[in-house]
Amino acid sequence: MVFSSLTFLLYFLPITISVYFLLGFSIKLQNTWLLIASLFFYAWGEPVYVLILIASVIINYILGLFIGKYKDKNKSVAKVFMVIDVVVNISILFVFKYMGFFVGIINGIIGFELLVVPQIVLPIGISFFTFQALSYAVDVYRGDANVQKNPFYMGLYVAFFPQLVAGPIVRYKTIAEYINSRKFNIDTFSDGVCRFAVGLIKKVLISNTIAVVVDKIYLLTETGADLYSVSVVMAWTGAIGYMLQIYYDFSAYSDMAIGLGKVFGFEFEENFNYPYISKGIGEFWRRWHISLGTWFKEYVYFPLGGSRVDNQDFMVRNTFIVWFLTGLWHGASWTFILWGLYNMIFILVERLLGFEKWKNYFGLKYLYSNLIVLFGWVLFRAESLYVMREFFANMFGVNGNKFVDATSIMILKEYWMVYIPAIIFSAPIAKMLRTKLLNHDRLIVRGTCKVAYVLLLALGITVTMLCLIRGGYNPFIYFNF
Amino acid sequence: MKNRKIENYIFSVIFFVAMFAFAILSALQTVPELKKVLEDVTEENKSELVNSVDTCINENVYMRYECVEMYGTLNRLLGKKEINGFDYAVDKNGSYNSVNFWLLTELDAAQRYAQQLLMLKEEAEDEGAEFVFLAFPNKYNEKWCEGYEGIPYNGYNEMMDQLLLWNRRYGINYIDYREMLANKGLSFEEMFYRTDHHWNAMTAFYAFEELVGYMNEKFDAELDSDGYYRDIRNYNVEILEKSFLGSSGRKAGIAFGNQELEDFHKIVPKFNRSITLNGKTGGYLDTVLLEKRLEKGIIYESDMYSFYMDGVSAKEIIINNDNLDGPKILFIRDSYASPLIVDMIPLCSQIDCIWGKYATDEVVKDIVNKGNYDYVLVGYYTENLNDEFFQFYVNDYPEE
Repeated sequence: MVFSSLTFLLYFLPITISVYFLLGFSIKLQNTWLLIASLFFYAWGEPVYVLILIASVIINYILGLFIGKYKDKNKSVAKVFMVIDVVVNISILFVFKYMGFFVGIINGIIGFELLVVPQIVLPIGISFFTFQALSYAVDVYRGDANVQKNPFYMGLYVAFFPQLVAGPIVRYKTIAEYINSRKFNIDTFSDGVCRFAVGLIKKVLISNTIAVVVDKIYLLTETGADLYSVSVVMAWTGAIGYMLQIYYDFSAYSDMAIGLGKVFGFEFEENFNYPYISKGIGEFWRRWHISLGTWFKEYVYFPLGGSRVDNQDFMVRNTFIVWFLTGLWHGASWTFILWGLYNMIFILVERLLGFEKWKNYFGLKYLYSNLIVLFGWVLFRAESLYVMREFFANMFGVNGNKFVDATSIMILKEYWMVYIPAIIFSAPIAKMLRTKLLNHDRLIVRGTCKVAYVLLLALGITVTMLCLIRGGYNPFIYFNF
Repeated sequence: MKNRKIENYIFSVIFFVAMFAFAILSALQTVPELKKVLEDVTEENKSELVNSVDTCINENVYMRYECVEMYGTLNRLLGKKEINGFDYAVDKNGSYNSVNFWLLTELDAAQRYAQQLLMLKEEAEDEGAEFVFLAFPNKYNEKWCEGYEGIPYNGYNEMMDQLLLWNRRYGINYIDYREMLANKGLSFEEMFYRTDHHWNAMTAFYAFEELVGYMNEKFDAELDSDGYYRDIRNYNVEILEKSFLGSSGRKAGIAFGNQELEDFHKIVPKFNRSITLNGKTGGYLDTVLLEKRLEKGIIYESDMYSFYMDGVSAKEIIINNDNLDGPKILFIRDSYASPLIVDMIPLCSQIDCIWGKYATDEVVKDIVNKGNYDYVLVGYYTENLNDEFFQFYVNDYPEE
């Protein structure tokens, strides 16, 4: 089930919210209901793999109890259980996500198919909920969080439907207090509703619409220059389109997840902070998929020593490991690994040059940052090195392709009304404008801003519902992870 | 008070009231249909239950068609010429056309398809039958349409050109209905529907005239010698005004093309015949012409084009009990042929129809050898020139 579906919006959500608030007299019952709803939500899309999710909850719960039991009495024993937990979670992830890839590598090295490449369907959200489960075990071991003795509460943490399938990756210590106790707050609730609505609008009206163009252009690229010549303008339209699509797709999902969390009284951390206004790749990764970066920082980079090492070689090694794993986390493919290492190169270079401390050249820094990110997304989106090569060749006109053709112009004419707002609102322009108007001295200005906000949101949701009802393209990029 | 987000409260109320109201109104329509879906669950199809439920929910949402039209209106007001992610694009005439950025079948395949037709032709001739390929026209054709620059309107004409080129090289008889229509000097509106990909029944009648003339000239078929059946005055042509919404319009809505419902040609012979269709015997209106398809209902769920032959089925056997000495025809076809087949009935003793996608190697070889046909016709329109419609003689090649 996806948030941007009629099944979710018209049936699952109203029923879940209604029952949740009817059970407002008991947080235990509310949590149990949310767990049931979450498991149903997951089972709707994965009727078999929901058992893996349940197994993950049970295993992590039991191991968490042992870690909690021994962490003060016998740290070594607690560490053993923590290591077991890590191994179990990584193994689950490996089997379902990476085994085929690594078997393919082994066969490639040997030169023949020694091992049969397993055809395993990737369970939705496995990268997210295994990382969350890992975070729980480590947080308990470190003493950053108390062990959760209620298995249903543990299940709720791992399986809570707002962030189950596409994040944000919620670290247990940031959410524990909300699971155990939370009170209804009208401001948080209404903030959550508006946030959810904004996310839904971004997803359906912007991301889904641009996805149509991007997918067509990538498919045309895949056919090869012999059969279809993609012009330079079309290639750049596709590249910029994907840059916008992935941002709006993923940030929209995070908005919806955070918004729904607030509706139920949970405060999740932000996952995006206008990444396309970054002035460097280092800054970009502090604004993009923040929860993933934070997770790798806390559970991989810092334990390895981070950058506070005497030997800078270790810093480079630690950075390499994190970015290799970041690429690999996104998918079992060389293009994802290359993409991770591509980002690593620029982060290291910026660090070594003290790039972020350069006070001038802001314009050039924005341009550099967005170009590097743009090229990185081309690599990320390409399903093979061949497509990547073809796409870049088309972008720079070295494929014997024209600069522009009638079809490229047609695409721009048909989709400028989505591209332009998407580019504008990828910067915090709306947010800054709203803040400025809401803090204006004149009541009429503040009032007009508030009325406009309600009307625009209502209009946006109405158009969004029209799109959903007539049906159409509704991909979720990060569902693949 | 300055910091209280009253606008958030107001929007939240609007959101929840609208969500619950819409959910309840949709549920009133959906739940009865969901019960039917659940009743139809079997051991074989239970893995598809979730998809079936999702589909049922999507198809029974409250004000579904009004929303489709509103969405189409919005797109039109924004000046868009394509809709639904390039599913359809309008041309300057407001007609809906399918769009293809690239052909799903490579042009090279045309030679192979022609070889398959050649093998079928040779097999038919061995059994004493004559063979003709009927090239049904694509609605979008630069001879009678003007599109917006850059939109890749259905480009399958090129595929048909290649196929007919190879047909000429292999000596396969064919009728190119695109040429016929271009020479007839008819306007687009007289030939095709704006909101459907098919030609109208009058155009199919002209195609019938052309086919009979061709067969008489080419094979000395002596069909309809006095021209009675090719005289439109011997048919009741009723124009059902502003009553038809074609398949494209049913998906994209009428408003996108700023259209209204179209006129539909209902052509019923004035003469009667005893016809047996798949074992059921009766007149035209009991067998091959289905008036129930013309009943007024939800326009988005009706398919008036299926008045002729109930659209297209895997296999149909039509016997003209009043002309058992007439020629026997095998017709491998698509939906374009339906009104044409109805017109052909009085001239024939029997017409065996196979829908192209079911014309597998095994089926075609068996039927050609046993059928004792006088004529074998293959009739496809341009978009059906793909592997799915060319499954016969896939492993057979003509001698060099």
